[in-house]
Parts: sequence; C-alpha cells; structure tokens
Amino acid sequence: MSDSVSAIHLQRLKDAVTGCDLDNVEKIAKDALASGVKPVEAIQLGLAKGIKEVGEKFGKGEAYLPELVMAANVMKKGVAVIEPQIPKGTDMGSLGKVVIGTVEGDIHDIGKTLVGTILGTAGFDILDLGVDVPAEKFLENAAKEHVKILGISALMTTTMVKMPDIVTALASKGLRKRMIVMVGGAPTTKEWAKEIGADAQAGDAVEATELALKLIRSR
Amino acid sequence: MGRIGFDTERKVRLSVMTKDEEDAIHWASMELLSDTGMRIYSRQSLQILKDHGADVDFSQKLAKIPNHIVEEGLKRAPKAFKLCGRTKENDVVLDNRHVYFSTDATGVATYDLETGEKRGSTKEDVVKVAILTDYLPGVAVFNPSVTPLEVPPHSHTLHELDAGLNHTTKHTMVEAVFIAEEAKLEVKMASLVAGGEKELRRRPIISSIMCCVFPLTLDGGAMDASLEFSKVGVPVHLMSMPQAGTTGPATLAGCIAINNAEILGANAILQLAWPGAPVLYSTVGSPMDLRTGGYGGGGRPETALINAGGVQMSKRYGLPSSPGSMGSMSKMIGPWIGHEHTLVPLTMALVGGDLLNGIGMLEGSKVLSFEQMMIDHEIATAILRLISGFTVNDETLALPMIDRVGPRGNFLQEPHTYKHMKDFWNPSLTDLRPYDVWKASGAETTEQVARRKAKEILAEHKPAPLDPSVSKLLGEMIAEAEKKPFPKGTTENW
Repeated sequence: MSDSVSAIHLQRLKDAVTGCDLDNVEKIAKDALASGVKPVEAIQLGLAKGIKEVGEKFGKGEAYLPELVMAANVMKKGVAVIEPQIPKGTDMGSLGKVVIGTVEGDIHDIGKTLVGTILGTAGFDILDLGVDVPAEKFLENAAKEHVKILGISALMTTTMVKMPDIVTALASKGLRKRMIVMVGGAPTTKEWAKEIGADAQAGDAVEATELALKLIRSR
Repeated sequence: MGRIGFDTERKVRLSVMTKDEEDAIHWASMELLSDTGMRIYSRQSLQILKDHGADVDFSQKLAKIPNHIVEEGLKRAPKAFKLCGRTKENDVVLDNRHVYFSTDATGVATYDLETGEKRGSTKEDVVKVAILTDYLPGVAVFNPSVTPLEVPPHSHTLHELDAGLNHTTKHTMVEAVFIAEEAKLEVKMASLVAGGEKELRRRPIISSIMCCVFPLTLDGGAMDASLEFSKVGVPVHLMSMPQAGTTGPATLAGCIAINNAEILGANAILQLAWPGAPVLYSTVGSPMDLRTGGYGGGGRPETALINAGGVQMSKRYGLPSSPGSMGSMSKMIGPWIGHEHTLVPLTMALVGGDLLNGIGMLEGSKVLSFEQMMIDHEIATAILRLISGFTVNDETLALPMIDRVGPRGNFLQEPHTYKHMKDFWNPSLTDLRPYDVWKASGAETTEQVARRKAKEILAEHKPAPLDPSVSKLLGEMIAEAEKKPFPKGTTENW
C-alpha cells in the first residue's frame, strides 16, 4: 500500500471523528484495515488525531459539548473495530491512567463523566468508577491500576466531606505520593483542595484537563 | 394590616403557549408517565403507586403511572393555601391573586459584608439573611440562601431551619431534606414553635423542597422525607430542574413536558398517600451551557421560557407555583446581573407565578451577597408594583380636576395630587438626584448604598424573638441530633 493511500484512509478516519459521522465510522475503519493501514496508526494517526482536534476546539470555545461527546462516541465505535487487531501490550502512547468517581452518598454524574470524556480526548486512559463510590473502592482501584491521577467528584456540601477521608486513606496506605489527586464539583474550591491535601481543584472540565496536563508534565 | 405582597387582578397575563400547545404538553407528560414511567428510589412511594393500580417493577424501581392516577392526584391537590408566617400578618396567600418573592437556597459561600471577601458560608450568614428577610417588605419567604459549613454536615438543614424559626417572623423553607428521620425532626422543631403538630397543620410555618435531579427520577430519601412532611400538612415544593441538553431535552417543549411529568408524578404519590397535601408546582429549568457543559442557569431567555411554560401548566391545573426566577452566573454585582434578575422574575410574574425565588444570590445560586439581596429587593418591589397595574374609574381619571386646572396649568398644588402622591413606587437604592448633588454628598455607588443599608438594618432591626424556652429547646434538639448522623436515606442501594 502506498503512503498516499494510507494517508487518505487516515484522513477519512480523522474526518469521521471531527465530522461526528456515527453512521459510517465502522465502515471507514474496516475499509482502512482492509486496505492495509496499520491498526495502531489507524487509531493514533486517524481517530485519535480527530478527537484531539475536537477536544482542542472545545477548549477554545469553538466546539460545543454535544459535538465533543458525539465525536468521542464515534471514536469509541471506530476503536471497537480496530482494537481487536492490535496485539496486547502495545504502547498506545497514553498519558496515563486516570481513575475518577463521585463520592459515596452522591449520585451526580454529569460533570464527572464530562471530565472523564475530555481527559480522554487529551490522551488519558480513563477508568470511571461511576457514582456513590465508597472510599474503599477508590483506594482499591487507585492501588491496583497503574494510576497517575485520582479524580474525586461531589456536588453536595454534605458529600464533599468524604473527600478528605479518601486522601487521608491514600496517605496511610503509602499511595498518596504515587498519584495526583484532583477534586471537583460545584461546592469545591481551590482552598478546599489545599485544606484536604489534594493537588488541584477544577471548576470545569476544560480547566480539569489543563491542570491534569500541567501536573503530569511537571512530574 | 393588609396582606403582604401585592393585590393584583393580573390584568396582564402572558402566555407562552396556545391552548392547543398546553394540551400537547399535558398529553406528552401523561404519556411519559404511563409509557416511559418514572424511576423512583423510594420503596414506599412505589408501593403507594402499586396499591392504586400503577404498573410497578420493584427490581427496576420503575413505575408506569396510568393517567387516572395522575388525574386523581391533581384533583386532590389543594388549589389555594397559605404558607404561614410565625405571625399572621406575614402569611403568604397562594390564591392565584398574590405574588411574592423569596430568598434562594442553598449556596456555600458568602461575600462578607465587612471585608468584601468571598469566604465559606456560616450560620451567622443564614441568621443575617433571616433578619434581612424579616425586615424587607418585598421578601415574603425565608429560604436559607447558604448552608452553615462549620456545623456537622448532617445537621446543615436543621441549623438553617433554626435560623429561620429564631430570626424571622416570616415563613421558612427548608431545603434539601433527603432523609425521613431528618424530616421528622424538622416537623418536631416546627411543631414546637407552632404550638403542636395540629397547629402546624392548621398554620404551616415551614415548607420543604423536593428536588428532582435526574430526568423522570425521584430520589428515595427526598420522597420519603416529603411523605413525612405531607403527612402533617407541611407544604412541599415539587421542584423539577431540567437542564436543557442534559437532564432535559435540548428543545424547550420537551423540557417543559419532562418538567411537568416529574411534578405530576411526585404529586400523585403525595396525594394518594395524604389526600389534600399542599404542594407547589416549582419549575426551575434552565439551559445548559452546551458550549462548555457548565451550568447555564440564570437570566437567560430560555430560562424564562421553560419556566413560563411550567407556570402556565401550573395555572392549567390550578396548582400554586414557585418558579425559579432570579438567577445568574455573574461572579459579582454589576450591570450583568441586573438585567438577568429582572428578565426572568418579571416574566414569571407576568405569566402568573405565585412565589418567585432567587433573591440575593450570585454564581448560579452558589454565593450569597447581602448587597445583591438589597438590590434584588429593589427589583422585586418594582416588579410587584408593575404587575399590580392601575385602576380606571372616575377618581383616577380625575376629569373635573383636569377641567378646573385647564390647559397650561399644573397639577402640583391640587388636593388630588396630594392624595395620590404616595401611590408611586420609589427606589431605595437608586439615586435620583442631579450629578452635582450626588457627587457633593459622597458619590456613593449603588453597591455602596446597598452595603450601608444592609448594615444599618442588621444593626437596628430586631425580629420578634421566639419564647426563650422554645429557642433553647430547638438548640437542644439540634445538639442531640448532631451527635450522630441520621440513618442513611433510601438511595439506589435499597
């Protein structure tokens, strides 16, 4: 296969994501593989390039949120076609694993899920634990996986008080220094993050991504 | 003394939907309830629905509620009632003729009146809001505005209620009660002040908010708490907050339909359990900021349209309403917030809302500003004046007087002018004097005037206190409750 043919397929994959082409992405991915495009490249130089572009546009206020969410879903659908062709253990160039969740007693998920989506577009590997997550579950996953960032969300004043417990428990298990701890949710503030010994607090998903990238790079 | 609030014949009635469109929203809501169903995390609520013929799947916590149950709920709900003050002259009459404003809840930070700094909110802030509410004639209902962060989390609302009961003679709303045991204790506290549970039922001096978070979903703890309130006749604000684009469709009609369905569904449960339970139709929808995913609430035209649609539906059913009114994402006082805090409440007043909320808050109801509270009060009184309209009769046409004064005369010296000189709304913050006079007297900005006046009121106004023994008992009840958290409410884990 010539480089120019490969380039056309990669461009199509990227365009499928930026154009939110949910209906055709599977076919585009299959065609690319059938034409001999390397699976890793199909993801990294095709789909991922597209999502990164949409993510950056979103950060600049040029793309709307539903566009970003749709693009991420297109990417997922494409990856599902391509991934089985990639040998296990291949380095996909991830920035690292992020574990996120909403604290116990709190069932708000929109903001938290959004942060996960946008961190994903920036190149992080996301494990979303969902809502009403007990401290033990945060710890268990933070310990087990090769986690770079732990993100803790709460929307209520009555549930944000669970955050320090998680940070303290991480420290007592000797895990605290291994990872960056970020908190978010309407009642949280920068002062709150400092008070409870977290590394950062973000007011929205774009700020969360900027901070995550900054903190990861400074490590 | 007359009633607080303004007597209005509501001559101007704004509609945002035609009658046919109202029908369409109604039937869409009915279809959502009967076909799509509601997820309800309250076992007793599901049981109540099942006992009355709803199709309930306990494992899925899903109830499909047939139309006749919803209609029965509407039939049983009272069409007029009072949110009583601790004193009778402060009763809020929800009878479709009166319009009122309330403060808002429940933020987490306050702009300190002395330092001007934004800091975590305290009980002292809540007390100050109660005192200002007690003083300001245009604020009829106390809603705690901010939560006291220095007390144990499970006692937040108890302290908010305590601040209201102790520091204002106006009606107190309790916010975000998610646990039945907590509701029971709050009923006990209010009963103590009202003079017994029977007296509380006769004159409900508190009301509670039941807030829907997810589309077509009722929180278990919040519903169980609401059932406790309804049991003793404490009014419940059935608050639906669809965010267009996330917890509601991105189209306004769909948002209004889902909003309507959630309120009708919750109402049906309370009415089946406790027929005649007083409820308010509380529509607090707003658009998401779909550019960022942030909360888009506040004075946006779509906020006004969604909630105007909601109020219009409440009128159709004859239910009193407490629509989301003043709101803004503004970080500080200024021109930005002024138009937002006018646009939506004015629309709500025109469309027929009964109790309009939101006074005093910035940043999407997260941050309290006492200065903003004063400014919002000014806006509120202007809106109340505006919708009270004017009377047309011989006295107000005043033709004999005009005839006597004649062309090229003036009316200043006329007894008729003297008689009516106080009919006008007067600003209390806006300076109407000429520039030079204003400059010479210190050139105070509106914000500075608001701060000065708020401080003056707080220094001088002493709301009629509770009997010291009652006040002491309330304190003891809270101290006891603070010792250990309430048993966890029914959430999705039951």
